[in-house]
Parts: sequence; C-alpha cells; structure tokens
Amino acid sequence: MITVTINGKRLKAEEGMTLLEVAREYGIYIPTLCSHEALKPYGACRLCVVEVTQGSQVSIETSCTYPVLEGLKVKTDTEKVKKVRKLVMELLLARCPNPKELKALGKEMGVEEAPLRMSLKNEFCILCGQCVRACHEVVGAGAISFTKKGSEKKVDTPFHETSEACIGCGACVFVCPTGVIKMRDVMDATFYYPQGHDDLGPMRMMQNWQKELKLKECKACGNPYAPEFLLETLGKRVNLPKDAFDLCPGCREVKK
Amino acid sequence: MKIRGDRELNTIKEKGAKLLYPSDLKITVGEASCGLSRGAKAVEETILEEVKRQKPGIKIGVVGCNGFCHQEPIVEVIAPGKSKITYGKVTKERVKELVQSAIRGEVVKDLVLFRSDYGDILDERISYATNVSSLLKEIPEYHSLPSIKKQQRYILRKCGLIDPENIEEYIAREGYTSLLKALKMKPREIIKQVKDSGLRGRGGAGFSTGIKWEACFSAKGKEKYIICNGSEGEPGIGMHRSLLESDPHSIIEGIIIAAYAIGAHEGYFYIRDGYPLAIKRVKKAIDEATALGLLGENIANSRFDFNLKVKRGGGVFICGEETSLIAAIEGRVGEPRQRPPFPVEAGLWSKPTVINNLETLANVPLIISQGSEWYKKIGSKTSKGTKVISLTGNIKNPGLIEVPMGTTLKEIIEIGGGPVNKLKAIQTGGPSGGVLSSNHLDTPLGFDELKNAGSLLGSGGMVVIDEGNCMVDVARYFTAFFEDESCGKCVPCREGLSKIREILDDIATGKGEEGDLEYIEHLAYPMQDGAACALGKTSVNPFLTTLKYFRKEYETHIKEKKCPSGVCKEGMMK
Repeated sequence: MITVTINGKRLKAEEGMTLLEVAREYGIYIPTLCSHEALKPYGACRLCVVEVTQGSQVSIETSCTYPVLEGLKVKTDTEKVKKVRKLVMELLLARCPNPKELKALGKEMGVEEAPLRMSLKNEFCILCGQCVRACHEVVGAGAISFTKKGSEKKVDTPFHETSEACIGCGACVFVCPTGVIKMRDVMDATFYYPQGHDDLGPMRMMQNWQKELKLKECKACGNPYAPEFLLETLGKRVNLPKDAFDLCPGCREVKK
Repeated sequence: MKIRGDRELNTIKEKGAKLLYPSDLKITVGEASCGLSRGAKAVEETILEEVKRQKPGIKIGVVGCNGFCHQEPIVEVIAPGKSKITYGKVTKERVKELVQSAIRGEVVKDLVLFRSDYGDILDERISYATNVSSLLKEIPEYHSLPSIKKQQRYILRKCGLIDPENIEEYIAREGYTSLLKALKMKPREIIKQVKDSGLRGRGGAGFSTGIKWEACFSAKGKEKYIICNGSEGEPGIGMHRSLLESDPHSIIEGIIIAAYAIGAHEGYFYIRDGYPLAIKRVKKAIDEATALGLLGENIANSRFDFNLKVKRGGGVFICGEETSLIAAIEGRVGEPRQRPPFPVEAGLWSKPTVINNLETLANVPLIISQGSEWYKKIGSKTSKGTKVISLTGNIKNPGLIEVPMGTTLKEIIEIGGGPVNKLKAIQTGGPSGGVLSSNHLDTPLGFDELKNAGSLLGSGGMVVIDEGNCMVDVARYFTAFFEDESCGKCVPCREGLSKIREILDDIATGKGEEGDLEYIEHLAYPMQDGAACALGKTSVNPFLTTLKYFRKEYETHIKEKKCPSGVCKEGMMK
C-alpha cells in the first residue's frame, strides 16, 4: 500500500494506480474528457490536471497518467489548475461550439462559451483519441489512427482510404464522447447508390471510415444482425466452429 | 584487420597520419553542407582537372566544415614542412591560379584567410612549419585570429581537418583511444567520471548525463538501449548537422562508451531525413568502425558486444523530444507521452533506455581521455565544458563556433564579427528559448544563467536580431513555426497556438485591438503549465519574451497602427 495526500487528506492506494483512480475511489471530483476506464490513459485533453508536489518539485501533471508514488502531495483545485482547466475548456468550445456533451461539461465548470476574441471552428471531434485507443487496444483491429499534425490533426484511416482492417464492430462509435462517429445498418444498401448497383442486401455503413460491410442474416429468423467480416474475424481469433454465428443472439437464447 | 588493442590502433594511426600529412603536396576542400551549398563540389572537380593537367601527383582530400561557413567554399593547401594555407570563397575560375601557386610554393593573396603553423589545442601539437617564410608572415596565423582566440574548440577540434569518410584519419587524430581506455575501465568507473565531470545534456534540458546513465545502469532488466538523438529541427540552426557531416566518429565513439557504461548491446542513431549527407556519412562511419571491430561482437577483444543502427526520422520537430523519438523508432505516431516512467526505467520497447543528444555523446571521449578533473575546469559554476554555437541572423560572420560555458553573449557576438546593423535583441536556444534584449549581453552562457535571464540555452542556436527587424514579426514567425510543428495531441498546444498566432497576425496587420496583449497573455501562461511536453510548454516563449522586453513595440502596432521598424506593411499607417 502507498500513502498519498490529496487536498490535505492522507489516502491509501495500491501500487500501479493512477492519481485519477485514487481520487475517484475516494469521491474527489476531477473532470475528464479523454479518459475511459476500459482504455489506457492518454493525457491529451489536460482537463484532469492536478498540482503534484514531489520533494521540492511542484508541477502541473495529468492525474490520468500519473502513477501514485509514496509521499506524493496532490492538490486538485489550485489557482493554476483552475486556469489550465478553464483554458482547455475555452479552447475546446472554440473548436467545437456545438456538441451538447461538451457544452454541459463546460457549464458545470463555469465556462459557457469561448471568449469573444477567440475565432470559432465548427468541429465535432475533440481529438480525445478514445476511438483510436478502443480500436487498437480493445478490438485489436488498428483500422483508424491519428493522421497529420498540429491544428490539422484528425482521426482517419490510413491515407484516407477504405480501411481493410475495420471489422465494423462499432466500438469507436460507442466510446465517442461527442457522437461524431456515425454507423448505420441498412436493410438494402442499393438505396445508397443512385447510379444503380447490384442487389447488396443488408449492410453496415461505417460512414466516417468509408467502410461498408455485409451483414450476416440469422439462419433462424432471417434478421441481419452483425457484419460477416466481424464474426469471421472473431471466430478465427478464438477458434470457434464455423457454424458458431449461424444464429443471432436472440435465436440462440431461444434454442437454449 | 580487426583492432584488438593498442598495437593495431597504432598501426592504423600511422597509416592515417600519412594521409593527413603526406610527403607531397595536398589540397583539401571543405565539403559539409555549408560548403556544398556554395559550390564546393564544382571547385573540387576543377581542382582535380587542374591537378591532372599541372602536376598529377598532388593529393586531393575532402574534409568537413571548419566553422568559417561565411567563407565557403574553403580550400586548404598542405605542403610538408610549410604552414597550412587556408583560402576562402574560392570559385571555379580561381582554381587554376590557386593550384599553380600551390605548386610553386606561393600564395594567392586576395583569397587567403589565414595560415596555420601548428595543429590544434587538444591533440599533441603537430608542427606544420618550423620556419615561417617572410612571404607568409604577412598572413595572420590561425591561432592569433581574434575569433579563434576566444574560442576553445574541443568538440569541433577535428572538424574541417579530417576526412569524415575515412576512419584512419580520425584514428590518426587520437580517435578511438578513449574507447580502448574505457573498455579497460569498469562501467561504474566510467559513470563516476562522467558524473564528476559535471556534463549536462546538450539537447536543452541540461540534465546531468552521469545521473541519467547511473539510473539506467541500476535499472532492472538485462536488455537496455542507447539512443543518440540527432533530430535537430530548429529553423536556421545547423551545428549538429555540421558535426555529423564533419566528424561522425567522435559521436559514435561516445555512443559505444555510453553503451558499455550502461550495459546496452543495441543502439539507435536517430537522424532526421532532412540531413541526407549526415545520414550517408554516419552510415559509412558505422560500416568502417564495424570493419575494424570497433562495433559488433567482442569489440576490441573486450568481450563487449554492441550494434548500432541508423534510424531515419521524418524531420518533425517534436521527434527531438525523447518520448516522441522512442515512439517514432517503435513505428508509432511521433507523440510525447507523460513521464514518469522515465525512459531510463521504461524507454524503447519498455526497456531501460538512455537518450543522449549527439553533442553530449561527443563530449564523452574527451572526458574519458582527459579525465573529469580536467573537464571540470572548463566552463561556469553549474555548466561545465564547452558549447557548440550556431551563430546566425544579422551577424557579419555567421558560422559554427565553440566557446567555454560562461562566455558572455557579448563575446559570442564579437566572435561572429558583431551585428550587421545596431543590435536589437538576441535569441538563444532556438525557437523554444527566448529573445533577450541588448541589455542582457553580459549574461554568461550556461543552462541556469540563461534561464534566469528569461531565455534558455537550448541546443545552442543563436540568432542575432538587429534594428531592421520587428519583434511582433519575429514572435509571429516562431509561433507559426510551433503551430505547424505541434504534434496536436494536447489541447493547449494544438488549439492555443493557433489562437495566439491569429492575434499576432491581427496585430501585425493593423487589426489589433485594445486588450489583445492581456488576452494572449491569459492564453499563454496556462499553456506553459498545461501543455503535455517541453515543446508545448516552451512554445509561448518567443511571444512572452518579446512581449516582456518590447511591449512598447507591440503597443505601437495596436494603438498607432505603425510598425516602428517598417517590416509589417499590410494594414499599417505609413
């Protein structure tokens, strides 16, 4: 066990925990945007900054990445910390003035909108990287990644081409805090091709990654329920028999 | 032949000495990037033709940069028993005359820069000439030149003298003797020497090299790595490029000693892709060292194995930051990650790793051969040794110099011949550093000294800014540089820099508003605290330091819509 001091309180923590985890365990509020319990810490949004004193050194650090060390003194609401958080929120609201999730968090922190002198963009992606990390760390597909640098940075498939690696699982859609990643299952994808196309049948469209995946139809009820490529990849990964995914989850329950 | 000990090294040393000081006439051409960009290749080809016509026995050699970049292309004539003559600004047209007078033992007076009667300070003194003829006495001697007198060239001592693509010439100048000495020492002894010497990292942060090595040496795990950081990315700065192109072996020797000290058997030499000549010469140097058994298995019969690979970087500024550099070598996006854990605990492939700047590593052979006591005597109280400085901007003689730490900025500017017009400011430490006003010229060179003055030593770039420059424009240029080079990972750096640059653009084009300065200060200070890495934290320095010393100039732009130096034109009152 390690003892750290947060806001004057001596708290016990286990080795390997981050400051954010300890604070959350003891109910100390720290705002976050790029952190997700299923993903590795990334430290990009800088909302979770705290003031860390180690020996004689005082510094502003992201609590989501900082490991607990014996004797650390942490303050979560100093003037410096508040100023960094305010700036981050202002800058994010200048980049993305519209996502309601972001606006709500800003309101909670007392930042309703970007300062008047700040130029506004109309983005929806805050570049928190949760989708990228979910795709790499959890799904293991590695279909999307950050591309370009600086203010042109964005999440994309390699060379902005249709991703072969995308299995259409939708993990990126699920974790996206602002809902900018879109996925859609359609019964007849032919509708999407006004110039005409062969009968495509039910498809999943990963709109942000230019990927379309054929949906597998349940052998019992006939309903499309998941991309064929996804089921194939997962089946191979855990060595399932070929007919493992013949039935949709609903029909599988019934059969049991 | 493989070098197994001093005997083999001495044999090569003798061979190299014959190349450096042949029994017949030798003409060398400076062919680092500074020379090549001024047509050194064409000069060399013309010399070859001329020599073929006039006297085919003369040897032609290629050397690196001797620091007189403003005088390129530089040609030197070495005749046995005579002073070495150095010519500057040699053109193709003048080659015929030059070769002719070299054969006759004469001098082309209007091209000559200086003569050298003996070799440099550290190596044993090699006398070129015992009797200096009256003809040559009129020409200034190299060591008496005011710009050279104030310098102490230790790191650059071989640059411009040896062929960077010939290991024998490097060995002839005491090369690899430090390595053989180090291999006989215990790793702990080497680390102690480096720690005692007071050597601090030359990449900019100024962390003690010895403590870094010790931490890696004591870190758990058998597999360890050494990385040499050769990712120089500041605009207008080229001292490390020049060292790479002129004397790659001195860095490689330092890398091998460091690897032996920390217990690494594999290392990476990270060089940015924008330096093709440096990459070519380092690769050649690694091949040559491997062929002589100074790299690879059982180095110099010491049972120590070490392999060194060149890794080319895309040239992004952020990849000079150590955690981004590691990401780049691992094949990931070049983005910094939070520390701790530090690379000495978990670096490349999560193994203990030492990352040193190439100039830091070039200091290592010097410390080993001369001892930490000797090294400690050079420099200031908290910054030891010398520093290679790239002098650019509005200075009369831009080039590469090396001075002991503690030399004042004023002396450095004097070495470069002074500013072109009246001095206004001096920027130290590249874009991440800061701009100091002409009132700060007594500031001594050093990590802490410059930091206290409000700037940084950085990796040693110095840009002299004279009265013809507008400080708003300077701040705008560097902020735009950072905006472009930001990796875009963290919000303050990615979004904040754009906002600051937009306001600076407004101020420079007559659209500045009252309160703008306070507004961008409100952006800049939390950015210093909140950005993820050193690039982001220091990216506001050009703006904050120019504002600190030249606030009036900013205010004139905003209130009177006038640019005092006449640089900003668009939207300004005449």
